[in-house]
Amino acid sequence: MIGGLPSLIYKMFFLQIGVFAMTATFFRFVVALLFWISFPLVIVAALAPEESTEFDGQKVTDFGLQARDGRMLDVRDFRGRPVIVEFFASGSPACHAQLEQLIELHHRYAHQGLTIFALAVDRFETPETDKDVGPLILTMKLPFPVGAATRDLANNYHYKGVPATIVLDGEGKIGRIFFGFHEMEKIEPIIKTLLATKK
Amino acid sequence: MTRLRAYVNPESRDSPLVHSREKKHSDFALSELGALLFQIGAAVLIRSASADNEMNEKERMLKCTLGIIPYE
Repeated sequence: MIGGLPSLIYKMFFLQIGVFAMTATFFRFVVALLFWISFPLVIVAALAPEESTEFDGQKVTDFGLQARDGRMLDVRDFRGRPVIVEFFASGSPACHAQLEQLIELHHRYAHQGLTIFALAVDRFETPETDKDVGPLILTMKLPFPVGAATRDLANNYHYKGVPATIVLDGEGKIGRIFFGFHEMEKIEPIIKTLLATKK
Repeated sequence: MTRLRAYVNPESRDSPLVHSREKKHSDFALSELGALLFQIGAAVLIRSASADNEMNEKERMLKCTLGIIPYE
């Protein structure tokens, strides 16, 4: 029993250090893990699917995407060919699915003249997820240009939620609007029609 | 015409920057996991070492009591 007390102190000392170090490290690990996977935590609800012809033929505001190096990609440079403007949110699974469909459309029709612009609404809808758009572009390997939409521009395109796929004709007018998620096969006919009549 | 900011220009140096940022996040989480496992391992070793010391001490005291080895 003589050696019991020093041994107990010895054990308690190392146990305290061990518990403290493990607790601190575990806490840091949890914080890091949450930080790492934080971007899918904001889930944005999707619109109910609806193909709208209500705004067909209506002129919409032109826009250009300005890269950090100053170069401008102007939607007017693509007159004479169909253009898809996709409004999406990085935290919307339906938008991810819609972007997958657009990637497929891009691979099928880009060489015939189809151009796609994807505009993220995160900046004005969920500013806290704006940082997630860049990683999403790289994760999904989006082959078309992506920009940050403004509220005014989105309103001009009759945006009312995500995903929203606006098909423009060769004159920059609305050819068709697809609210909510749509399979590629639903969007394909209008693209084919516009490509057949492109100048 | 409305000017919008582009997120990533594939022809610019933006992409590698985002790549490295993603890598840093994953590296950080993995290094923290490694540190946690190391701490658990160290704690187990310390515990087993202290248990060994306690047994040695008890064994020594028992042997002293029985007169097998002298008191120091």
